[in-house]
Amino acid sequence: MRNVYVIGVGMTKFDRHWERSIKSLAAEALEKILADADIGKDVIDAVYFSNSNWGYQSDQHCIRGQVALRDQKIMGIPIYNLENACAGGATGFHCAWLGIASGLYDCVLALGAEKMYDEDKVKMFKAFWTGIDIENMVPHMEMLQAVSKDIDFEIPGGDDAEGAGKNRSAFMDVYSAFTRFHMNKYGSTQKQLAVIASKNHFHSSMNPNAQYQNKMSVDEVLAARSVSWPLTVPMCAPVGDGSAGAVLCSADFLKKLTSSRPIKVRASVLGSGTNRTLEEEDLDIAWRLSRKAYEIAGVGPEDIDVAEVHDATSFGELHQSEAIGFCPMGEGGPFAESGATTLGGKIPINVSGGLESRGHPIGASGLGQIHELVTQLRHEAGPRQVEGCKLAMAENGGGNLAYEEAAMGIHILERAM
Amino acid sequence: MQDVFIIGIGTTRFGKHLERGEKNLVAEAVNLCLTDAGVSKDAIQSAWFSNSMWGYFSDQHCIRGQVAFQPLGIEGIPITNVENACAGGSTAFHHAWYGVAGGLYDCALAVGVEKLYSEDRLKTFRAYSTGVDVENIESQFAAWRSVLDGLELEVPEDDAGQGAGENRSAFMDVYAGMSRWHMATYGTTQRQMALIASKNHFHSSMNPNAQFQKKMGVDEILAGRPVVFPLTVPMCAPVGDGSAAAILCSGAFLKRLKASRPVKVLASVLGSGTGRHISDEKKDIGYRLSRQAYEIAGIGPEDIHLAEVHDATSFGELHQTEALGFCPFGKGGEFAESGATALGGKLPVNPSGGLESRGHPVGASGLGQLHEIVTQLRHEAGPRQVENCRIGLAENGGGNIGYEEAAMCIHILERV
Repeated sequence: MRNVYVIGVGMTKFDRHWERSIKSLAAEALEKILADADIGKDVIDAVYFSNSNWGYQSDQHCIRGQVALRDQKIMGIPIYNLENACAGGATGFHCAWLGIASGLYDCVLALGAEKMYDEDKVKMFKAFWTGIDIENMVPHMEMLQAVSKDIDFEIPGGDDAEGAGKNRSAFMDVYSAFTRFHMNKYGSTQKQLAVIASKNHFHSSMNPNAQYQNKMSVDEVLAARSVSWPLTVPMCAPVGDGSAGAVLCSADFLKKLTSSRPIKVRASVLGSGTNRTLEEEDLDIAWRLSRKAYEIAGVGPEDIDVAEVHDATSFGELHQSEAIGFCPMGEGGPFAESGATTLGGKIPINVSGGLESRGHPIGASGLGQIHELVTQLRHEAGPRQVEGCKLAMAENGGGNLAYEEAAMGIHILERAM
Repeated sequence: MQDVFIIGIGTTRFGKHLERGEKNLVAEAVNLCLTDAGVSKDAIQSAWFSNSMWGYFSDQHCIRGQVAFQPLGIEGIPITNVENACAGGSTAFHHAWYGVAGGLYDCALAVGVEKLYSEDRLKTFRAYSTGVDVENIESQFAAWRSVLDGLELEVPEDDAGQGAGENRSAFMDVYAGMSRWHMATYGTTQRQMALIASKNHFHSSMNPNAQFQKKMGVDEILAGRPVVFPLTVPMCAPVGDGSAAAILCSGAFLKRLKASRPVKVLASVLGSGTGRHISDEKKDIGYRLSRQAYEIAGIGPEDIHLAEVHDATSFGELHQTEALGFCPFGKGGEFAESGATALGGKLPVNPSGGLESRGHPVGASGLGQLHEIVTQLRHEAGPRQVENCRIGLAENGGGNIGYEEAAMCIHILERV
């Protein structure tokens, strides 16, 4: 298969864009991507468009990419509409990579756009439900709650099991159950989760595209409103809107460009979850797929200089830092506490601020991660630059079946300038 | 890119499956497909899943493929959810094709499923309206009406007029508009459209997987309940549920199989619509993409032995026979009248019965077409077999933007 390069990235600020449409967000990201790649839209051979909730929110169930891009005069070419819950952005990027690597296309666009914010809070939170098997929602949630049912924790203010899907995304209860399981098994602490959230808020204070740009101390994170214990609001990705994307091309196409800052795709891996048991941590989807990605790239976790991982909550980041092999299983908490994952540390994670603080517009999030890593590898990240970074990894998970993500995309990118 | 072969196909009967869920329909199609290919599910390295309306009807907006495959034990592998309105099935197939052609996979699965029947008929008809730019639905229909208002064509007084999207799919009004434009421009007749519908009902009377399996005379079609002039009910694809699937593989994988009846993919092309005017026929999406497909395959329309085309209405088939180059522009009506497109004719079109009569479960339809072409090229179609056919073409369109389909796939397949 052929080598593939990222030659342009662009994104809107992730935020509550209540007054703006998907079309408007996609148009802004597109304009920035084309300007960054310094190409015209006429050289784009195909578009990979990812979105999850336009149907749910506004009845656009079909041909979303065609509708989003028609006003931008992108038409006639192949337009692929893709969905993989919160991993939709990585899925779009992976399919775009395949389009080039296979030899079918020379230059393609991967674009994700999502609007999640809604004045109707119940409708807004219910959108997140649709990332599981809806028909089996009740038994599935019971199974997940059982993960931490027999664990005796002293929960300040008691447990609020009734609010799932009403005053918070139902996924937050999934994450809190897994967090409790981890705390019980390995002794992870709520404070370690707060350290991660505080670190990510610090990172995004230097990111003008981030939804939150205010620093938060560990104590402030701990003192914030509880979502589903041990998670507090600043440990959880906010509801947000936005669009992000990238242009990918072949080596032949790259040669024709006079000025470019290309980033090479060293590995692009997509996979789905399995029915593994909770205890089978070495069958974890991120464990499986990251090993595959390392093998393809011919590198190991120790070679990665910077990573964006799927921190829908702080626990997500803690878990992924273990599963991806940055630290041993069970040691994600102390690893974060050591400062290793902070800017200036051994392996800075979520320098963009992550989903927690940069924001998480579902179908665009994975491409937001790519945007950050390309910016870092080009050494254009300004005050949040990871010095001298050459190799980067993005992990983007989506949906939930059994005990893990239903979908995941892992990418390894390399500075090629 | 390497050669790609289809080694297995499977389909449920298309029809009204009110009591069955998407998972259940998918299980039937995938199991038939695995059996047909003679491979186990463990051989599948990647899967593409097409569906448009599971979110709309039952709130499964995300990870539809993973949800449908889990009960079958298909898990862990890459599962990609794709959508392209009525062209979703062939879009999934196209993805699987380049997954194998590019060398990433040796064996891949494409599956489509759709449930459109609902006790709430209004909800069903409104589903179709989501195949356009929903935000601008009014202005799109206004553009259509302005084309129609300028036509010199006598339209019966009982024309339905109101009710688009309420008592019928709004797409029927788009198709009626195209039909009237063609009638006014080329002298095409309602009777010619009835002839196509009658031919397709005849074809599907021999297809056990078809939604309708009864013959209908031309006069019966003309006497059918009017939908929007010139279309009557039997000229229009019915609401339907169903699932269809295909397994694709590389030449190296094929060699390892003991008994297989492979069909080769000669061309797989996907594209989207443009802002062309209705009269710019040579910019038509079917015209553009078929020329691309012919060039890739190194053949011309005269080399095609049979075709499945997107006849959401009889007019769709009439139009596509022109756009695909089977006959000149404006001659589709006469071409059908000549018997060329009927079984036994020069170029049988929609031997399955087509969308009109085999049925049209949106995200599965394109794979239903490929199911028919593969069956024909294997010479396993029984009484509806197109004799000695070696090359088949499938055209699958979806959605509407401006004056044409928002998405389209064209596939050319060859008997090995």
